[in-house]
Amino acid sequence: MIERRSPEVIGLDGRPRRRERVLTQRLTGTVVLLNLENGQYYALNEVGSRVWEMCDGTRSVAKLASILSSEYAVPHESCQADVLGLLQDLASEKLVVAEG
Amino acid sequence: MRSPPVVEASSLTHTYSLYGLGVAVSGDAALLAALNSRLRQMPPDGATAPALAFEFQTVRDAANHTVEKPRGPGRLVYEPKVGGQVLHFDSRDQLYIEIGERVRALCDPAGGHTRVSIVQGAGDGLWLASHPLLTLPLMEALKRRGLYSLHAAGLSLNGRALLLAGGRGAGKSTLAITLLRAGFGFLGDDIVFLSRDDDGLRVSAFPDEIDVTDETVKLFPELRHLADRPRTPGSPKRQFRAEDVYRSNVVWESRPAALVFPGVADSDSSRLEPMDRDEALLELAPNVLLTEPSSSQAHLDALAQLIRESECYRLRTGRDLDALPRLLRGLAE
Repeated sequence: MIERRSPEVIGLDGRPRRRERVLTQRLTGTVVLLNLENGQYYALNEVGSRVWEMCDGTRSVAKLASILSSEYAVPHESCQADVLGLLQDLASEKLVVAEG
Repeated sequence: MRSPPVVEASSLTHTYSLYGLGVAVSGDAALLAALNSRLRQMPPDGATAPALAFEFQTVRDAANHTVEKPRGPGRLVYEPKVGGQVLHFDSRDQLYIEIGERVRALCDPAGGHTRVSIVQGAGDGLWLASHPLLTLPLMEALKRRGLYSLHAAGLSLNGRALLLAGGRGAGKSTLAITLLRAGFGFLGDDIVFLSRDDDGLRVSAFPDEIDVTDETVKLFPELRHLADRPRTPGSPKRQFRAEDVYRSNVVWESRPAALVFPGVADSDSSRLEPMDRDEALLELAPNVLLTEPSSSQAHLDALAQLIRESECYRLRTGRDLDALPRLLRGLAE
């Protein structure tokens, strides 16, 4: 049986992709997101901005965590939990959608 | 005998030239006078086919509004401080505004057409029609034409713009008046427009009336006569024109120099503090009305470019208004 997941639920094997109706702007470290659908504004810090940039629907959450733990030299397990938490927040705000 | 649903003794048209675009406004004499009090610095336009057209109609009652809410789902994109709602209908790219039963507007920003319907005798109808119902569609129509609004007072010195950004109560108008008295050129009290050219970002004037609170009137002897005038129904503030009181000139175009976010401080002296650019972007982001995606993204991009090309500061405005021109002059030089 094939389990159908809601696109707003992201697991480690999900491949997050930025939604189209989100305006983005980056000046220095922070990315500012404006969601056309709900009128809300968001700011992501430097690490969150890096996650956002990589959400193109080709990499799994586990892969993103692996890249980040290497780039920022942080333990893989805690990095994976943090990335998953962030992406679940972004998905619940309808900023990213899970592929696969 | 029934009176006609649309009450207009005569409909007249005035045309203005705004940043090279023809703007035609049509309505009755009272409405045109109210609009002209805002737009009178704009030169007349002789083009037969204006880029932007605003049609104002006065109706007998709310049942006879000549503007209907579009069918289908509309997204709430703004809630005016005076009440009501601004909806965007994505599939048609239309902006619909209603404030109570009194006024409605429907704007086709890409086509440049806006129709406004006002109930006859609504006390604040004239002010609502000539202010939020002109400003919001105008900003949205200009956005589609590469001119991006910034909610800020703008002053100019030697072609360099000092922009005072912030919401209600930040003290923008008090600061703007202080700088006008010191000889700065005038870009606008509440809105300026940003556009791009080969040399970077350009700040264009929107030399509207200046809105002041009774507290601000008390600070400047030359404005005290305003306290004796009846307040315009609907307006929370009092209005005057910069050129009627000060020997200031409108500076139609400037290059950005500094972006200042003022706030009133309970202190004797004012303090200027450098501001992080990311923080400035977060402050300016709400300038973007979240309507059509591509022009809204372009608006956000223009705000980011403004921040890149400006020095950004927070100003804690103290009671030393006389010292402010010297403090701020250096930012524009």
